[in-house]
Amino acid sequence: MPDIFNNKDGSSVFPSGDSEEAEVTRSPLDNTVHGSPPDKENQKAGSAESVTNEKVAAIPSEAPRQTVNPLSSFAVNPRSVSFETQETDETVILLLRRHVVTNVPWIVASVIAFFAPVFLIPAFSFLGLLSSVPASMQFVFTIFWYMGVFTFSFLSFINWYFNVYIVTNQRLIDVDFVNLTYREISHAPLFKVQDINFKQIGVISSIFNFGSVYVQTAGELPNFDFVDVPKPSEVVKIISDLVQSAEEGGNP
Amino acid sequence: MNIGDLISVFTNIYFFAKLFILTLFFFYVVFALVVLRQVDLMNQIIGTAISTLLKLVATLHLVLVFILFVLGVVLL
Repeated sequence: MPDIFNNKDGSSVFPSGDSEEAEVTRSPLDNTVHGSPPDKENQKAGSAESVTNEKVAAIPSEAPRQTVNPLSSFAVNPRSVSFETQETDETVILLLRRHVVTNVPWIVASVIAFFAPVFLIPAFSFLGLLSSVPASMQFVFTIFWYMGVFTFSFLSFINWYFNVYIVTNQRLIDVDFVNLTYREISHAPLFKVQDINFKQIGVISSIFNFGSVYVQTAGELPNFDFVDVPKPSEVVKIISDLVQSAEEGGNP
Repeated sequence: MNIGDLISVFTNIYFFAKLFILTLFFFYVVFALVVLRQVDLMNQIIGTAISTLLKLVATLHLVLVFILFVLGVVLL
């Protein structure tokens, strides 16, 4: 069993009601993901397992066992992550955010805004624009400016930090933190997932390997757009495998 | 204070500037309160290792904005 599908104690993240077939299907993953020696039982298995072996071999071998960094935008088995509607037997397998590179515009803007008074105040003084403004007002305005920079940076950060896509062993969850007054949380069980694909458009996304993953679900459930997430191909593989495991395991 | 003084006070551009700035700062304090509340709510929805730190920063943000408001009242 691959570590990304295991709990900390080594048990499967899937409910205990998994069928034997499902177990057989997932077992070879252990050997693939982390390069441990082949399981003897799996070596004895028939052709059906061989097919499964080929399928799951695509899961990246460099996938970390557990992501510790709380600011990671691609966290496998993230530590200390939980969510409000989490079930007792539900485990977070993947937590995604927009790629870190997408933060560059607001970081650059914040840095420019932070240093702007250093250049603007002498320039305004030179032009004589500040001569009629009392010193106390200049002081308060300067403090106000830096508070504005702080507010802008903090809001941009939490906008990135709280816009997360969570993949558990039971469902997909999309938390959209649009602004301070609007947030949207949608989820769909894994067995309702019908189609998964991803798009990588542009030079920047190719260089930094991020893109958007599109998950289509059955019925009236919302479709999921995981926008600008890192390693989209790996995300698709992991979700596909989870969906397959969920279908075979008969998860609710 | 006679009516002439009163008119001169209200026509003083700094009076209106101060009024405008203090109103702005007041709404800034309200905004900072909303930010703190929202961070608190989001921490409940997604619990992470830095939830406490984020709430601390949001609280610090509110305190600083309130200090700014007080500075505006005192200095302007």
